[in-house]
Amino acid sequence: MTSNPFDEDGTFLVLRNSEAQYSLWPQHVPVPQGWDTVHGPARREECLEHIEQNWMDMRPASLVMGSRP
Amino acid sequence: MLPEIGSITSFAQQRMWFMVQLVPGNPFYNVPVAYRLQGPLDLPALGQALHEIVTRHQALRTRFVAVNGAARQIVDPPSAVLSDVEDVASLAEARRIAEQEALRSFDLATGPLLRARLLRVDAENHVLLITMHHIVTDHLSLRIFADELGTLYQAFTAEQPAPLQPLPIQYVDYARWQRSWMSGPVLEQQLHYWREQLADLPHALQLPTDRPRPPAPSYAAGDLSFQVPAHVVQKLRALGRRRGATLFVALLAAFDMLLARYAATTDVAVGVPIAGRTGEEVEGLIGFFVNTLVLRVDCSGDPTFAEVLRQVRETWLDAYDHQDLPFERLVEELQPQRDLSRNPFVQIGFQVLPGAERIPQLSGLQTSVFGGRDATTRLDLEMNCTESDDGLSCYLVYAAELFDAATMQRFADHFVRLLEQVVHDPGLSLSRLELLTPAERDRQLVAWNDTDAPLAHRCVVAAFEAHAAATPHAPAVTGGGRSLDYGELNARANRLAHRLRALGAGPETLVGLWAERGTDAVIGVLGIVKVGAAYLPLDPTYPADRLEYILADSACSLLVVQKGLVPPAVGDAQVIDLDSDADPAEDPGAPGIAVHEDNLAYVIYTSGSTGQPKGVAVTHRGLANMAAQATGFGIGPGSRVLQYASLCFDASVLEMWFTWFAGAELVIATGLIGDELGEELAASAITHALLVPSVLGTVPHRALPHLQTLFIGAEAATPELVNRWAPGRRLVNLYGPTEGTVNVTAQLCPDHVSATPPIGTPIANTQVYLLDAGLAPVPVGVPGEIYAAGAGLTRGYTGKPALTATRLVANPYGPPGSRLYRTGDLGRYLPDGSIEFLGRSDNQVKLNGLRIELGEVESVLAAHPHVRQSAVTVCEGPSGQRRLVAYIVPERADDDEHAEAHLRDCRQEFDKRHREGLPWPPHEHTSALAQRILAHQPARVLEIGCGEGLLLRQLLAEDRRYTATDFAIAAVDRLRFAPDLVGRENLTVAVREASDFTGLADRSFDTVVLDSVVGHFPNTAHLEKVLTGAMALVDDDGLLALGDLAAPDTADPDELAVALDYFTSHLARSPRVADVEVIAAGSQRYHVLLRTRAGADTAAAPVPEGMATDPLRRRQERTYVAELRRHARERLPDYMIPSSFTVMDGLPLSPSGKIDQRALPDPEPVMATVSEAPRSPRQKFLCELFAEALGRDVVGVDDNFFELGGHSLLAIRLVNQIRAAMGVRLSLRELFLWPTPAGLAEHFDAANGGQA
Repeated sequence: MTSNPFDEDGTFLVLRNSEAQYSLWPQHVPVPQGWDTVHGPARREECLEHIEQNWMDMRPASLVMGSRP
Repeated sequence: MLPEIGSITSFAQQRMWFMVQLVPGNPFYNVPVAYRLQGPLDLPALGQALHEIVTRHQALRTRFVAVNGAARQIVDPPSAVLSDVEDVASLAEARRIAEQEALRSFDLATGPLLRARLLRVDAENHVLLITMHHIVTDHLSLRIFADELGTLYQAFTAEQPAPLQPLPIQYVDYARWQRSWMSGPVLEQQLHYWREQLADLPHALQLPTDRPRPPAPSYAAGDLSFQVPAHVVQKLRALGRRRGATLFVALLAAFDMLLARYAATTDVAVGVPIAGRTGEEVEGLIGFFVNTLVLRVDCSGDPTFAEVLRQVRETWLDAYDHQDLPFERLVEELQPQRDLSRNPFVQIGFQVLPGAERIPQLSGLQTSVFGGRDATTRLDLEMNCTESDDGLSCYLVYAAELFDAATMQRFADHFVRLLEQVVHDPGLSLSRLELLTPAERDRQLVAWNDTDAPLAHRCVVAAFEAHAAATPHAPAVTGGGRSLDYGELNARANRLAHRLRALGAGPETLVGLWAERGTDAVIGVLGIVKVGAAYLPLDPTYPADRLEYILADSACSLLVVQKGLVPPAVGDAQVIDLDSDADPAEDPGAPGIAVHEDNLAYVIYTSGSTGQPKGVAVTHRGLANMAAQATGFGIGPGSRVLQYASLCFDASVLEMWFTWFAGAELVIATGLIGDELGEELAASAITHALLVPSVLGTVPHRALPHLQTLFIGAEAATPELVNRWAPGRRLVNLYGPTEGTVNVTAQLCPDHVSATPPIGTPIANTQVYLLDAGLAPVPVGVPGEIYAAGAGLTRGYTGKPALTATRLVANPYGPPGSRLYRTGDLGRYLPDGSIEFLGRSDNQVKLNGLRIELGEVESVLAAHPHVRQSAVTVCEGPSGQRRLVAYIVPERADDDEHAEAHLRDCRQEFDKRHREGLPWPPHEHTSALAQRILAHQPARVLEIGCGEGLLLRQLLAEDRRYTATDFAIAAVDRLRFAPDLVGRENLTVAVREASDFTGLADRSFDTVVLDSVVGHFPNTAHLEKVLTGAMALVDDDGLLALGDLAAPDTADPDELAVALDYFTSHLARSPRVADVEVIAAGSQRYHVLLRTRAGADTAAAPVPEGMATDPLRRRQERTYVAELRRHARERLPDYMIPSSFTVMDGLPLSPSGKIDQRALPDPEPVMATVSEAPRSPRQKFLCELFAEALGRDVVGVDDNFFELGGHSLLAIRLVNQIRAAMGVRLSLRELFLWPTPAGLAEHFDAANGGQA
């Protein structure tokens, strides 16, 4: 078994991109381009709770808006 | 007493002697050196010098003999070392001889353990070969040897006496001293230190190897030299000095971090040799002194280099203070897990040598090292560093069986790169260290992922409709005796689409599809997709629970059901019939619904680790990109693609959309495995098929000229399978999770392979990254987790935002804002950029290509109220079949309830036997018991469990009052109305359970008898209760007789059997027992007679643990397991149901508190069946075939294949086996109808008139 930074106990961020998609993110790794921190640093459970509470529509934002053909 | 032979050995010698005994005649411990001597050689002086060295150092003329299993060392008198000069033709020949000589083994018992040979190329060119056994030498000894050889040669050439001081002590003195010193408190104190240091040390530091580790390594070594630049060494030395650390410590800290990254571990242990010469008097002595210190560092918590440096420094200082405990003694003491393929404790060595190898300075001669160096290593890898003027000379020795030279070169490069970084910034943490060079990084992240390609269609429906318009009469799907062309299929799908639209279906709605594989199902898929909705395949074999869960979880409100099928539960969903022949009135034209590429195309549920399946939501973008591969694999009009997979697995997505994307024909498979499948591939002229290796493996090889392309995937293919099927066609290995839309990589397999083929490289518009725990790319050859990105990325898990956000995460290497799916699979790059699959990083397994989260099965089992804990794992049977097995810790069950049930069942069984007059097992020893009882002249007898009255009739007499009880009403009735007993007024017969004593007065009998009764008791508690009660009823100096008891060893485990010892040693000590008499009653059976004495305490001594069988427990386990199996069957698809359930008191835990998988026992078929042995040859044969298919030792005639863990694939395999072995016709359906050997045998008998 290999450890994965997303499964460990530790401090995480919640990221969101322009499609309003969410990503859990380990705090010690630099945040990739195109993503904003919307929650955290916080415990993993707390971040997941935040995502559950806020990511209501899992469709990409551009699809919802119909902004693309 | 015999005189002692020789002297005691040192610890190190003893251990090495032992290792040599394990593999006698091996050259692993040879220490060879070879010197080239140029110039005029003084041969007598050389011989004399060698002789003098051997004379001075007893170790070099020592041999080792076994005395009582241990070694003793014997010192022989000095003899000539160099016998004569051997002429050789060339230096090349000398080199060959040197290599052979280095590998020529020693005999420790006969010696000598030093060999010298002198090879003469010509008068001015000689090669001196010195080979010693490690048991008498070490690295420092070689320096002493070289120095003394130079000094003595110089003296002897000048005809002077030997100038060396006599040695103060010899090695045998040291060995004796070591043995006496390293004992008592000194030993204890050092052992204590090392025991703490090495507590919970992992079994091995697992560096990724290029080849599998051989069980018995040859120790063949490869080597590699490289330099660390001087400026780096200077900075590192300065950095260390500021932190109170030597260069050695600083280098080791960096090396540890490299190992941590390579082996993906936080627990790094390295072996460091230490001279082991702590006293002045041994400094100049040749002998085996070197010791190995295990230096362990903890790299958890992502430490910086500075932190690791501090840790190594402290560890090193402490270890240095405890260096006297020989490594060998430590191995004996701590007894690490025995593994002959690895060195114990440490597999990696590290040392910094003070200077270059010492060369003897022979006056008048130019001497140099001749030939290569170490030919063997017992470690996986040894890093030897030597300081030189231009930096650090590093010499890497590695196990040649494990590593390629190119891999070691990369390892060396990465070591240097790591050193360069830490000297620049010692605050860099482990995860931030960059191993890859910029060029390597660019190649792995960018070049190997450069897969951009334009797409012909953004939506697969458009591709299908284009074919329907262009070639309406081309065949589109064939199966179940009918064939539809593109025009017909399109029309039918359109009609369904219109019906669905009328019910509100459209983009982003989900429509369930409850259908068996076939043309109807295909129409269903197309119809749903055409209305813009996503289809949700549901397997008609799903249990109600699962169906209900999936419908609710996916919020699916519309369900298309195949005609004739009835889903067991639909909840609130609206159901419409998939009646393909109906509604010609519907509009056959395309509904013309615009679908966005980000809209969903289908949702497939896969096993979920939290106990429930999860729905993967797949978009049109991914589907179109996946389908576009079809043309590259040669699929086009005229191709015939097999539809084999269940629609619930995404292999079916590939089959369908490859076909329609390319205008080919889809052929629904009927033959599921083996011959039939082979027949179908041939008869239907299939050109393309996707089969998992475990299915393909069942197909007998035959010429299939039409089959141009075979896709394999979902599990590893053996080289044999590839070599059988690749020649003559395109064999493609596909890899991908459902979350990546079927496949993300593909690999064309060559005709011949010698290992499992890699999973290949990313497909078009797809990126694959192999990343470590810090999300940095891993070097080639090093395992990393497989991450995928690109067009195939799915939307996520339906209704599960948090889960989605942990699996589909921000992509650090792709376009801004893009996502990355972490597969949980492990892989590594081969040097050409293709990826080798290495397994899972978590609890997911694949059985027969089907993905199973062990956690899901565990959660389902744990949800049962009587399960406290469960572990599910995969075990491999004797013939290699893998199966799912469960280990269960039950909630404390209610014993009383089970005991009652046990007695109730017994009573019903007995009642039935008495009522129907069924025969009883032979019971031949009653008369002996009766004789003994009569000898006591009983007057008032109570017989508990009188049964049919066998004993009663022997004991009943006019002058005797006889009370007989039995718990079976039928038994009591039979006795009451027995003609020979009617009217006997001194006889009372009553229905009464053995432990029921209500209404019976104390001491009201002088004799109480229980014959053939105890065996039916549920457990020892019940026996104790009955004995206690019976002893109260018996008068003082009365008799308690227990007839026909069984000893536990050979008894049927369903019978309560008690060791004789209980009665003679334990019960005999009860206050109420005066004495105990035992009478043998046949093999392993006996009678016991207890005589009572006065006393108020009638309690029977408890039966100690292990002295009796436990029928109740067996019963509990059996009903428990049956109940669990039912529970699982109601909630899981059949391939996820464990084949066996092992009930345990507790699960073994590792020191970290996790379940220790390795410590789990072999899975037992605990739910042993009560089935009988076969009665006919045909039954016997079928039982054997069943057992083989199920991976069991025995299967009884009435055992149900599916109850014993048989699932559909195994069933297919069994059907095939039965057909082949017995030459009978048998379908899978028939096995379902007659799932037992007896049932099947009867079926065959009926079918063909009993021909066996």
